[in-house]
Order: sequence, then C-alpha cells, then structure tokens
Amino acid sequence: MNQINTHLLIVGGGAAGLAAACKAYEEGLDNVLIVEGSKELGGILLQCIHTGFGLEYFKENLTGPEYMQRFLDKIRKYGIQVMTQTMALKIDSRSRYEHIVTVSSPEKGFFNIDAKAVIMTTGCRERGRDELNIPGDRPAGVMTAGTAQRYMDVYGYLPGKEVVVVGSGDIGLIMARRFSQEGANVKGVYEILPYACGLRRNQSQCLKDFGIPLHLSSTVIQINGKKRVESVIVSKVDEAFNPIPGTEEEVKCDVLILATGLLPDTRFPKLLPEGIGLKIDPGTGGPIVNDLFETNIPNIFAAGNFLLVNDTVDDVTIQGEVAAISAAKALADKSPVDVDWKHAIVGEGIRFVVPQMFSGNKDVCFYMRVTRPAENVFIEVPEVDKRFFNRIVRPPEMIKLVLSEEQLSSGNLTFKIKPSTSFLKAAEPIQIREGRTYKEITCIVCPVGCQTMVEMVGDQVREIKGATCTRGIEFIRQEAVCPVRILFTVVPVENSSSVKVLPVRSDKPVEKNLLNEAYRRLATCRVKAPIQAGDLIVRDFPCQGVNIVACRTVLS
Amino acid sequence: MSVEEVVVIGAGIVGACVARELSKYENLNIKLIEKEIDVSCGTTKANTGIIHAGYDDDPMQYPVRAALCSKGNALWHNMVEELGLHVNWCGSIVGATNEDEITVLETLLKRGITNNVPNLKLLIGEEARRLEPKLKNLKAALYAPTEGTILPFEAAIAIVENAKSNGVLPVLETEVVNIEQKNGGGFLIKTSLGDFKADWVINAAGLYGDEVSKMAGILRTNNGVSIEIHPRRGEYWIFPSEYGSPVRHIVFPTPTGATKGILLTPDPEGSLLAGPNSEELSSIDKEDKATTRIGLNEVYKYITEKWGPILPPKNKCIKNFAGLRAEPQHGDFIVEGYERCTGFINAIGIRSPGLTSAPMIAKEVLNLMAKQGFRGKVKEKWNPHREPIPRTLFLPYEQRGRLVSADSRYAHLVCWCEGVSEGEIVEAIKRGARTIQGIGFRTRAGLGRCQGMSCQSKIVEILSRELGIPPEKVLLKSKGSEVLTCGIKDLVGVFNEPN
Repeated sequence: MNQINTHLLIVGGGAAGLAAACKAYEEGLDNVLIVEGSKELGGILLQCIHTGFGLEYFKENLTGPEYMQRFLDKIRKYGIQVMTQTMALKIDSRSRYEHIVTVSSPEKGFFNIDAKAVIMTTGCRERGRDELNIPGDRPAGVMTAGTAQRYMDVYGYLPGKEVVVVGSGDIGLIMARRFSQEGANVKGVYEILPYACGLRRNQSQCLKDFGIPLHLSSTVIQINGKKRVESVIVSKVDEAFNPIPGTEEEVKCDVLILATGLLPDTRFPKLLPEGIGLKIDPGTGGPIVNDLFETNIPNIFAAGNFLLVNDTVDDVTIQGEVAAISAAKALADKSPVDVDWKHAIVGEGIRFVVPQMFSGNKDVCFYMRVTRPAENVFIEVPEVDKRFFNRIVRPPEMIKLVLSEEQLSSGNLTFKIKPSTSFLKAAEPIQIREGRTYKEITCIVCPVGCQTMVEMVGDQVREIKGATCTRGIEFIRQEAVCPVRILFTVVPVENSSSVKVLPVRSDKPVEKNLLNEAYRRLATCRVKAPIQAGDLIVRDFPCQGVNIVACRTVLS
Repeated sequence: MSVEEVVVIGAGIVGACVARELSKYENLNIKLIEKEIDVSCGTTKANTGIIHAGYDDDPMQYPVRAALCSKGNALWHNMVEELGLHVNWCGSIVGATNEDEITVLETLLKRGITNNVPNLKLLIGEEARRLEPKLKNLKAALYAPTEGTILPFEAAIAIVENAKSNGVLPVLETEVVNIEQKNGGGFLIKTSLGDFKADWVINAAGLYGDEVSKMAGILRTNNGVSIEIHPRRGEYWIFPSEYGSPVRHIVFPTPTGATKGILLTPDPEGSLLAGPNSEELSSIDKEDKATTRIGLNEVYKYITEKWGPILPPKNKCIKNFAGLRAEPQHGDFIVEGYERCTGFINAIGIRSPGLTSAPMIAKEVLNLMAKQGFRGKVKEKWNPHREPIPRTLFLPYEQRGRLVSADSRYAHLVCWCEGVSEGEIVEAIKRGARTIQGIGFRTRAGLGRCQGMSCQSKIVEILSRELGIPPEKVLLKSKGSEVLTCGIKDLVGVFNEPN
C-alpha cells in the first residue's frame, strides 16, 4: 500500500483539529497534515450559523462559519497540508513515534500515513431515536437536530413545517429558533428533566423571542405516521422518567427533532472492530487522557468533543491547542516519558473530570460536570483543602477549575460537591404597584440567569429589581428599552455546485421588532460566488447603518 | 413450443424464490408484480432472518410446513453461496431450564428426526452450558447445527437480481386490483399500471394473499378452510456488534404455545436481535408496524427473566422495529392449486418458517403447475449466480485497488459506521434502489450505530443526483415518505406573495 509520512497527523478538520493544526505550526512543527472525512473543513461549525461563538477566545460574538473562517485563513496562510474526503480507517501504533494510519480518499484510494504523533479530533455524534427507545411508527421526518441543521443550513432544504423538538439543550433550543426564523411552526420543546438544559441566553433568545412553549418533565412517548410523521404523543413523566398515565396528549407535526445529547464519536468503520484500543471514560464517553491530552496510547492525543462534549467552541479550540503543544513537545523529545501519573478522582456530585490524570509538573485546567443542579455549593478538593464557591451549578454547564502545579504535586485529588453553609441572600421580590408598567427580563450575562423585574416610566427604566450583580444592569436596561439581536440566516447561492447556501449576518445588532419583517424580505435574496467572508450582501438592511455581510468564503 | 405467460404477485421472499425457480424454464415469460417501490417491503423485510432446521413443525398438525422446512434449509446452504449472501451458520439451541422442559426437548428431537433434520443433538447439563457459557441456568439444550441467520431483505433483493438476469421482469409500484378469468383459459390481471395477460398466476402477496385469492374467486382452501390472513406483530431490539453478543447460537426458549417464543439471534453482521414477541392484531390494518412500549418491554423483560441480565442496556439499542407475520387461519402454509381455477396457484399464509421454506415453496409451486399440465423446457444457460455489491472496505488489498482504480468513488466513504463507499451506493442505485431504505438494504449504509444521522444527507444528495430528481423528492422508504419538505426559503417566501 502507498505510504506517506508526516510528523503530526490530525484526524478530523473541525474546530479542535483546525486549532490544533494552527497551534502546532506556531509551535514550530512544519510537517502537519489534517485528514477530514467530509468535503470541506469546518466540521459542525459549517452548519452552526447562529452567533455566540468566540466570546471567550476572540472576545467577539461570531457565527460558527465566521469562527471557522478565521482558522481556515490561517491554515491557508501557514500552508498546512489538508486532505478532505479522506477517512481514517484504522491506526496501527507500532511504537511511540510510529503510528500507521490507514485512510481512503477518492483522489488517492487506500493508503497509509506514517505519523510520529496523532491528534484525534473527530468530534461527537448525536443520540438517536433508538437510543431513546421511543416507540411507534418509523416514518420519515424523525431526525436529530444536527441532521436537520445540516439539511437547512448546508443543503438549503427544510425538513418540515410543523415541528416538535425533544430536548431543551442548546442544540434543541437553537433549532427551535432556526425553524421559526424560516417560517415553520414550532409546536413546543419537550424536556424530560424538570429543568431546562440550555444556556439561559438560549432559553431567552430562542424560545421567548419566538413564543415557543417549553414543557418540562415531559417527553415524546410515541411517534405516529406510516410514511411521514403525522403526530406525536407527549406525556408528563414522573421522577423516574416514566410516563404518567392520563397526561398523554397528541401533538400534530410533520417533523420530530431529537436533541437529546451528544456522545464523543469513537466510532470507527468495521474494518477494525476492536477500535484502536483507546481506553474510554464511561463518564465522558471519550478517551481517558493525561494533562497533555495524551491517551493511553503514547503520542496519540485527543481534543475537542472527541475528548469530552463541550459547551462552547472556545473550550474546544483551547483543547486543540493544548494537544498541539503537547504533540510539538513530544516530537522535540521534550515531553516527560516516565511519569508517575496522579489521578483525578470523581467524587460526590461530579460526573466526570478531564483530564483524568496529571503529572503535578504544571498547572492544569480541569473540566467537569455535576450530576444534578445545586445552589450555593463548593467544588471541594479535600486533599489540598481547596474550595471554590459556586452560586449555581447545573449539569449542562461545564465547570472549569484551574489548579496550580503546587496544588497538583501532592498526589491523587478528589473533586466533589459540598453544600455551602453561607447562603447568599436571595433577591428581594418586587412590589407591583398599580399604574406602573413592568417588564420581566431574564439576565443572560452570566449562567446564574437572574429573573429581573423592570419598572418602566414611559420608555425609560425607572428601577431594576432582582439583579444580584451589577454586571447585568446594562444588558437589562437595553433589553427593557430596546431589545436588540444579531440578524443571521442563510441565503441561497445560485452558481456553486459545492456550496448551496451562504450564511450571512448583520454587522451590528438590530432592533428585535424589525427582525421578522427582515427575514421575510431576505427570503428572495440570492447571491453568486465567488464571495469573501465579510463581503457586503445587502447595504443598510434592515435599517440605516446596518449591513448584511457574508460569514464565510465561497470560491467559485 | 409456445411460451406461457406467468405473473407472480408479490416480490417478497416467496415471490422472489418462485420467480427465480420458474426462470429456469425457457418456455415461461415471467413478470414479478409488486405494489411497493422496491422488493422486500412487506413481511420479508422485518423478521428474525433465521434459516430454521425444521424440528419445530408437527407433521400431523402442519404437514406443509413440516414437509418444506428442513428441505428448504438444505437449499439455503447452497443458495447463500450462489447468491453471495451474508450468512452466519451459527447453529441454534432450544434451551431448557427445568426437567419438564427437557421432556419437551425430547419431543422436539423425535419430531426433528421424523422431519429428516440432520445432526440434531440433545445436550444435558455441562455439555449444554459449554455451548452457551453465559446462560447459567441452562439445564439442557437441543442443538441444531444446521441452523443459521441471513438478512432476509438482502436475500430477496439478491434473488430478484438473479431472476432478472435470467429473464424475469420485475414490475414495481404496480398494485393488482382484480383478476379476470378469460373464457377458454388464462387470466387478465388488472393493475394500477394496466392489464397483464397470464396463463399462470402465482399469488405470493403476503399479508394481502387472501385479498388476491378472493380476486380469483378462491375463498377456501382445498380442505375447506376459509382463506384469511391475519397480521401477527412481533417487536425486536437490535444491539450492535460493538457490545459483543452474549450468545454464540440462536437461542430459543423451550416452546410453550403457538410460537417459538422470544429468542436471541446473532445476525450475520454480528449484531444481536432480541425478539419477537407475538401479538395478534385485531385490526384489519396490515401495515401496523409500530413498536409499542409494552411490547418492547415484554421482550426485554422476558429475556432478562429467562436468562439473566445478559442484554446490553436499553439505551445501547441500535434499532427497535416491528414486523408482521402473515398468519393463516389454520396455522399451515397454503401452497396449492385449484381444479376450479386452473392456472391460479396460492403460495400464501407464509408465516414462520416461511423464509426457510421459501425455496421449497417455489419448487412446490412448480410441482403444482406440472400437475396442471405444465411441461417445462429447462434453459441451457441458466445462471445460478449473482455477484454481490463489493464491500470495498472488506476486500483484500489487491481487489480493493482494482475496484478503486476503475471507479475512485469506491474509496469515498459515505457511511462511517458501516464503512460504505459512494461507489457501493451508486451501484445499489444502478441495481434498483430508489429509496434511502433501499440503499441501506443493499449496502448497509445508514444501518449502523448512528442509524444514518451522519450519512443520510449525503445519501439524499447521491440519490438526487443519480435518479435526476430534486432532493425534496427523495424518499425514505415508500411513496409519501419524503425526507425533506421544501426549499429553505419557501415558507418565509410565502409571506412575500402579494395578496
């Protein structure tokens, strides 16, 4: 079989892989190769046309394609080698510095890549209908949120007009909004847990903005429709998630969107049924790694959603960079080889801690999730007598904890949740006075998500009650007086065989009440390639001083 | 010698086998009529896929089943080779967990010997547990080494492909609405696509076999039993190979009633099937293939209570599905011709072990035709072989290289769970796949761990391109099962129309 050689092979060209490749180059590695199974680089960012990306990493509010484009531009500038439509089939690790990766591509057929180090960044996959055991008919129109998103924002087709969403995680909420923006009727979002799972920002801007009802402790228990979905039966559930008889209700719909969680994608095609021998952490579903993000196979590193399912792309990027720095060091023979690894132990109230092992020779950022929501708690590390106070912890929100080299040097560390005795005072309830107008606004500046009540005098804010910090005041004031949003959508591309729709956005926030009309007027807009990211698509739209711009580059 | 016209109604496993068997004769012109968009869309596509040994069918009570099953098993051993099918000749056991059940096994053993089932063995105690070490409470086992599993949809598709290469004309999306007997012999088959003349009509219409029989005026069997086909539903769990099958053989419980009980089946792909339960559907709805919470729980609970907690957790399930069996009134196959309607032959009521018996049913149909005067002239060049679609990833290196250099799409992997290439998908479309399900049945694309979540959109794109239809016309499995509704801007665009 033909063979090519590389120093660092990156398997998967999504957010983590792109970041890893760029960082590896910046660290001085000049023989880096990315293999990507799809036609284009970018992974899931390609289809995430909404904003909210890069708040931490770039300190900007970007759409997924814009975030991706920044890395693609660097990849091109650095001249990093990329092979698309190239699928990794198996990895034969012969020694620390010899990993034979078999790949296939229509361009080159089946061949081997001999890599000195490998970073696995193959992302995650969605849980499907059968993992949820939803009974009923098996018609068309039952699909995961990611599949629907790809049909809409990569292929340019709507998979349904009357929509039911299962799962209130960010993806479910974002897809509920996306369907609404395109004129579909979203009947409701059903969440089996007694609390909403997505970020407050998304609960507010995806559901409230569009008047979409959220049903908690509820789920879909049956799918009806022989050919296409015709309706679903929804039901309330008890504490053990069993349907409560008598609470069933039929909801007419033609598409059921499943957004019920992600799992690191450790699939490999059947060629190698035993996989590549990675040890998996049942808590994350991803590989067990040390603080270099190195797996149990020496010089095979893992990052991004393949390592653990993250909340934000910013964390994915950072993980890619950590793995790249580790790989660069390993290839310069600087990485520690014989390390007495210490273990991060999952304690009470914690579901997982990543990395699972650490050396004690450097500071480490630990990623963890709690098992259930709690208020006023400490994350406690008893071995070093450390406690970190949290106002609110929820399973959907990742906790990041940086421990210093000194704290890590002692030995194994346990991470656990401990209730705090010093309760923070809850906000005073507001007294509603007659003859005044009030607005209820959820603060979305931080994960606490204060429910605030704003007393208005005419168009002006008189008083804000319920905010527990000062950071949110500015947001709440703006939201009360004149709520604004970034406009984003896709526009069909007329003349490209590879890219069907172009993601676009407004370059400034737009008054919320202008948005619906703006989406309608944009429906007839068409564009022609070539297009550069940032190109002006519509000037002064939907109002003076705001422009609609392209979020990605489309070559002709 | 004049050529006689044959219409076979129904392209399930029985219709497929009949068409293939009859294609051996050069004085027959055969049309295989199917109402669905693809072959294997009815009872054939959703069943356990077992090639039974034949000890189960009581020759006194079910003489036709007993006569055809074990011979059918022997034919399959040859056919899987000819047709290039995936098969797992894993053998089966009927497991007993107490003394009473061992007595039943002895009865089954005797019956198996009567039915000419080869190599049956009754194993007691440790000997039985050695076959299935994870079944701790196994006291005895009736071991049938000739049993195995195939993929029934793959089999029907392959058989029709082979029949086609031998001159059979499949006519899809064509529903038979009436059968007229012509004066002076022969039939006029009225269909949604127009009329077909026929000298011979073979009714292999599965669940609708009673309705087709009625069209020909046959309401009762030659024994006077009313011809009615009832749907009997069975629900299943499939667990993927990555968890490893807890059993190595097909594992039946000792039978207690009308069915063989809820069983464990390692399929040819290494997946494990648990099921089916058995539910008589009272409705006349012959399409109710819905799974139910009750039914699925019944299956899971039965296995767990019978053999202990050997199933993977429910959330590791790769797919739940339900299939319907075509149950005749008296429980036995109806494979017969009629003096009162010469040329019309029923091959209906094909419940379990229908898949196993199908090749023998086809031979029996030929016998019945001979009894009514058919004299076949055997083709000199009848081709028993069918080339399977190559599964690139699993080919030896040299062969893979040749394939890829002929068509580079064989190196473009589309389905990442099962490792299916674009070349295989395009070949499946060339061979007649019209739907996403049709591609899955022919290549396994979309049948793996993620059930098509990663590759379905790519398959829609390929189907659209190869069939020359817009993506929103691409079907999941049947007419009306479009995956997409309209263009992304079609709904918001509506508001723009001036009223």
